[in-house]
Amino acid sequence: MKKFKYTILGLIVASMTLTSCDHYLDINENPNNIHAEAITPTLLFPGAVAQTYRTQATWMNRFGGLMMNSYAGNSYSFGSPFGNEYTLNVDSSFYPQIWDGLYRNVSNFVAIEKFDNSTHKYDNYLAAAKVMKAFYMQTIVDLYGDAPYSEAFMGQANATPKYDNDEEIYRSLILGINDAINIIDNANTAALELGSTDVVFQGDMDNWKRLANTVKLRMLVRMSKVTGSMATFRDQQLQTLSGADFVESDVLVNPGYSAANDDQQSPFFGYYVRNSSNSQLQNNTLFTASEHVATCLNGNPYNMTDNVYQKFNGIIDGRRGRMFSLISYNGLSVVKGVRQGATPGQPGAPTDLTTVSRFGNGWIFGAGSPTSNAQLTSVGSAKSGVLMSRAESDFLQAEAAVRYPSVFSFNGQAKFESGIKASFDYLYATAGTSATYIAAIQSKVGLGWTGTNDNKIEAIMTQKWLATAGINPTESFIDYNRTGFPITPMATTSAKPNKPYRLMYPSSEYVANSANVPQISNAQCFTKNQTTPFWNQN
Amino acid sequence: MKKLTASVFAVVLSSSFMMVSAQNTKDTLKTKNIEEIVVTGALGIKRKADAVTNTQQVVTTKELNQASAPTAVQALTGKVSGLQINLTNNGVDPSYRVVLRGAKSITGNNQALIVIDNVISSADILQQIPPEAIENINVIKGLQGAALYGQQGVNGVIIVTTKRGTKSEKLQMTFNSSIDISNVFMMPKVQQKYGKGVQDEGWSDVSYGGTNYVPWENMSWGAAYDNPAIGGTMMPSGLPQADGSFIYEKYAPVKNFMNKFFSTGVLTQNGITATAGGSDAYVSFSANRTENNFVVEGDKLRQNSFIFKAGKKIGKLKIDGNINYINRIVSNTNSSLYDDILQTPTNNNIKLYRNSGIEGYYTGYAVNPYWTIDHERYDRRSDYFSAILGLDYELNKNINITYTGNLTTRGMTYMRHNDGAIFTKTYNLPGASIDGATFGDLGQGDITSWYYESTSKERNYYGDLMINFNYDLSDKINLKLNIGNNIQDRTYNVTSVGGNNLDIPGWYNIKNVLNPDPFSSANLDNYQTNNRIIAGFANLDLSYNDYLFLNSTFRIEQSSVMSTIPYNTGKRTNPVYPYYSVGLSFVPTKAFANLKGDILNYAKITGSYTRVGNTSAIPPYATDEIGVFPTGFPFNGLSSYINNQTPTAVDIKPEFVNTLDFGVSLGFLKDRVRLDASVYQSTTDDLITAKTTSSASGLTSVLDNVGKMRLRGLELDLGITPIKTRDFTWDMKVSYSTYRSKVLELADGADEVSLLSSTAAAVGIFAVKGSDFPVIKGSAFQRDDQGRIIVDSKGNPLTTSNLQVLGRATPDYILGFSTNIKYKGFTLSAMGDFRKGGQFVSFTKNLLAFTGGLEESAEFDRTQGYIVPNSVQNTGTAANPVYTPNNTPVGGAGTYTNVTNYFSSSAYRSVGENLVVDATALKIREIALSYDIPKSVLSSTFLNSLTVGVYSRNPFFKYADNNRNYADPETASTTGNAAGFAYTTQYPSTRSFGVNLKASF
Repeated sequence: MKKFKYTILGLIVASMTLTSCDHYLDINENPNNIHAEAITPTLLFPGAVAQTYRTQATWMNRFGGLMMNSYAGNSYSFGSPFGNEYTLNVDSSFYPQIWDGLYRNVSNFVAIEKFDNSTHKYDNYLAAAKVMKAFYMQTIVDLYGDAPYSEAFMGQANATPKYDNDEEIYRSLILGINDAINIIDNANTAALELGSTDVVFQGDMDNWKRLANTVKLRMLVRMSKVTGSMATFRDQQLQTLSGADFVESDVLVNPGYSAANDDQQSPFFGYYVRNSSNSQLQNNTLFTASEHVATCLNGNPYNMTDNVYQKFNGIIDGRRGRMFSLISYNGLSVVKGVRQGATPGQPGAPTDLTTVSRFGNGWIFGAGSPTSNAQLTSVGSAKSGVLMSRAESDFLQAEAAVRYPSVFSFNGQAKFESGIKASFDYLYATAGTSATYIAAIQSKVGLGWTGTNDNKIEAIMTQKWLATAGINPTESFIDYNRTGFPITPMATTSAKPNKPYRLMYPSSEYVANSANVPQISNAQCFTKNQTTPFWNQN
Repeated sequence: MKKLTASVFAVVLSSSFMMVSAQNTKDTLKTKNIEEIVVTGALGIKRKADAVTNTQQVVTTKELNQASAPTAVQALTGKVSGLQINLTNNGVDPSYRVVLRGAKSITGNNQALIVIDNVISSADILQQIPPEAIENINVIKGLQGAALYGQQGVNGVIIVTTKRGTKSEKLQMTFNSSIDISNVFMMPKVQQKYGKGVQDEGWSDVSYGGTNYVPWENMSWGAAYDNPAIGGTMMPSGLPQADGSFIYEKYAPVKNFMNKFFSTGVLTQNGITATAGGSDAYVSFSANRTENNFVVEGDKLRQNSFIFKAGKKIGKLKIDGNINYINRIVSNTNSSLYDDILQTPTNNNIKLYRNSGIEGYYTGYAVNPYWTIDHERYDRRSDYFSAILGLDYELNKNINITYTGNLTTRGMTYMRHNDGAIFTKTYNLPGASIDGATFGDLGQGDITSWYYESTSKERNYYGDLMINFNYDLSDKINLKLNIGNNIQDRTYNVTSVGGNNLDIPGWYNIKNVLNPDPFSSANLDNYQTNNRIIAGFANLDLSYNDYLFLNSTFRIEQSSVMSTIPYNTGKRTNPVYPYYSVGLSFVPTKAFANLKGDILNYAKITGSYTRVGNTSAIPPYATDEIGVFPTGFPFNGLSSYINNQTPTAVDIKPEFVNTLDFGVSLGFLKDRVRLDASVYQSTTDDLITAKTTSSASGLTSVLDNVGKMRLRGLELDLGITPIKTRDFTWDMKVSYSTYRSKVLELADGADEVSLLSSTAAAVGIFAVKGSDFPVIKGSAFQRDDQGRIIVDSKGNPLTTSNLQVLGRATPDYILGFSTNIKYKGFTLSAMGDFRKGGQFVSFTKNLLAFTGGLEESAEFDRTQGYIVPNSVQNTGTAANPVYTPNNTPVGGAGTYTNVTNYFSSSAYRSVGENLVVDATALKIREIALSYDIPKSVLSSTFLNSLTVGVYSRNPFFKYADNNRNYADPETASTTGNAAGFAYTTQYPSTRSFGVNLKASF
């Protein structure tokens, strides 16, 4: 029995010493994920682009399309759809996904900027990251005004970043783009090529420079109304763009989208149309054309008397069947939609035919028409996303030509018509119809290139609205707030007289950054005041 | 070990124990043991009740099984003051949230530790052990009693002891059997004035006061039943059936229309236990089978459990072994089908559509729940195996060494599938809006088929090695000291596969999945975890003269989850944390003989202080900084990793809970009246939570130490035995418990932490600085200084843009009551409780507002529009408001359409204030009547005892007035801390009636 006692005592001693033995507890290395230390810009970049684009393709697309009265809810099938969007119940729960989605993912571009680049190995990544950061941060400022910037993107080091003046953010982003251009212009031999990790331009740095110039122009044109020191800054920066190259083809993103599974689908298609298993999604029925866009595209066939439709009279837009599916209604093949806010039986939602248009093949499919739903899913799921369309770039240049003829030598009308053609081309509208269309609108004030500069701005904005619908409609909405064009009717149930000039900061800010977030009332979102983005306060 | 005298024992343990002692006097088998029962505390250290320095309450096997509750957790509900058990999922295999004395942590685990046969276990396992196999459950409410468990005991501990063999040499057999049937009750109340329809001329342009009838609507925004143009007539209903014809239903309310879907549930439980033993050995074996067929057709549970226990004393060595095997198979469908049922208009009998499929259902806008039952299944199969070895070696009369070792493995296979439906059939209804359309076109879309399978394996080792000393220092002073070491090692791994699009219908295998998810998909669990704890501990018990007791514990603990190498430092840190406690117990009636009299016969006072840390909020590997896959990556040949948006703070510390606890126990009139009272306060420093961060930081949330919270509470237990004679005993017990958690501090920059927020409405659960925890916050109507709702010029209410505090998710207090009347062989017992105050968020209300089923939306004539009651308009300016009573109906005009729009749209439904419901509830949880067949009758048979009984669980509920049976207020949405959301995927409560039989021979 003695032996047994010692055995027990020995066991106790052994287990006690084990307590002090740290290695027993050194098992806390995560075997399930990559360690943060191993993530280089090469690994960060493709995901950063693709993940940020998801916000643009889904929430921003939906927001812009509904605000610009291009989309409407199919109230024949859904009870009171889009209540908040129609009544304009703009509170901290109104599209928080835009702010949250952009900020959280733009932080990956900043991570690339912060990565040790003393050997210039990551120069090209650095340049591209700066352009992408400016691309999306501009949207933040344009929708929210003042926002965190100088203290933002610091992760755990600062979970409550202070707010910066929106002018300063713009200024800093533009200077950042200048840096990017500088890096591209002075290529370092040590720099890695982006190659296949560049899911936008496949490593073509000339194209990155074009995008850099175009984003810069977009920001400068946005400041068209500002005065004082920012105006001086704008004019000085505009000079640097004289003779610069801008985007001349659609800027597409595609990391390898396919119908292999839902996660790998093109996010636009996977949000609005069908999932990878070829099941029709609710959104495919929920989203239809608005009566407003349908009237404009159909050439006002029912002779609506509102002023806004008169310039469209009789002009059937050659893109309409590419933007929305055509429905046979009263003997005509038309885009049929619902007036925003109308329920069946009310004006704008007649019940003589309740089948309405869906998103069209130009947006969801590409060239031609699918022969089967399976083909639609396979091709649509693989379709590249559009960061910025050529049309958007052309209309931007057209506006620049109108506003700053002394800086830009290119012809505004040529850019305007090129933008229309680019839109027709992207949608694979029948060959040649863009020329017919351009001819038809030639003399239509506010629709074609005619009249005063103001008329031309209206025409540019109207065309930009049609060209960015379904692609990047938030861009058109922001310009609408700046220029007032195109004239856009409110939903019948709107509780507000106009669209919001800005959005409310999301609840995540009120919850987690309450000491810094400016207090803004719902009413302030609907008037021009100190909280409006700086370029739109007058 | 001194034996407890019967009287002391009866005083300290609850009244129910007295009942047992009274009952058992006739039971020769148990009388022998009763004297030996002492309270089993942490780590199996037994103490006589006087020496317990904190509040504890024992629930006996008899109490647990009086109404044949199918699980021990359910059987505990309502029986212990301060123990709150919330049903988080009412289904065939219910799950619960078990919290003692309120929340001490925001994000960390607040659930009590479950210890079964001296080994740390879980509520999940407790639920699988047949209640019949349990000897007793000691609920240690005072934290000091749990301090020896270190961080795992931070929320109190529930110590479960399963039945052991007896010392009788004779083989004892016990047979238990019960069967009960259950039905749903407390179905949500919906308006009975308006039937199916909405403003939609898709089928007919006939207007009934501004609305139309649509056969395939799910909305109840149709004509009034008393409208002679349609009321009482037979109407085509639903979508056309396969042969193109309609089902016709009368345009009148169907009685109990929502109950039609549910069937009668049947639960059977059978168990047999065999025990034998001797003076130095025992052996016991029990086998139990439970079959539960739930009120939802096809949802069933089959469980077989086997427990084998044996022990023997060999000289100075005592060996105990315990082997437990549980096999269970659970099959259920998706409970979200309840959401589809809630939408039913009152004039539809859902049962008529049993065989109509989706395309012939009563509505085109929801999925036929009968289809869901048949085509969406979740099948789990688990095998649980636990082996416990207990060794006790007596070195000498003062010192012994004990070892408890446990190895648990659990394997689970979880398969789930949906057969999917791609709708191709087009409806042929010329003139109707759905002519030529498929079901999917109506808005629902197609249903994607999918299949997922995951296999998980869990392996836990738990070992305690202890040296125990017991010395009488003098004839008055006794010292007991336990010094020990604890090692825990847990591994878990799970592998899953699955994806969308089944090629061959009905073949559920990954090989049949055409679009498998990539392994990086969030849908798939593929990971392994391993964590370990090493601790040393000591427990000291000092007693003086049997009336003054001191208990002190110390534990020093190191956990692998705190082992960290901060980013780019290369240096590992892993701090060691000490936890300690001290408690005193004093029995004045023993210390001062003259104090004890006929009126006051017993008094005990206890007080304790405990400091314990908690790292349960920190999962393994959390402190290791990682990158995550962006959606869809890796794409073919291209991988990428981006920042983890939900990291854990690199310098995170455990949260420390400091608890003060005082209690008093009094016995009057020879224990006919017993009163226990306790007050406590727990202050938690360095609260851990995943705090929402500004998205501008690039993060969604960070798990970090964020603040300080204080919990205060009071519990009173009054036991009375008004009648106690040889043949007739009446016991009753009333308990009162209340507690409040208050958030004292939150980390800089944050006034609140969002725990749960809804996407359907502006409402969420929050921790707010300076407020009770947790609070419900949501949008509210703007009101003038008289509390009247302010509406705009179109009569629509204005809502506040920021979220307001709308209520608290915890009750003001809970009153529990139970009674037990025994007359000769008859025992009648009843148990219930009243939960006062608190609120919850009802998403049933949100849904009913949409469909038009909400009673509130039918308390006026819909055809004349709706003026918000007690509303005003601002006729002044924004700066100088003048509020005048409002006469404008919502939407600006008095039409039915505007009423529909108001309630169906976000104007009503997304306002948080409209969804908050009073959680007050009165519940009679159990009534049971049993009869012990007298021994004289049995003497000629082989039976030793025979008890038969009838019982009912949940015979009667009553909710607050504004809870129109929307949900059981106990319903919590999660087993986490964000309780207070009642979703539409929670089945209604069930009420059951049954009979049971227990025989021993």
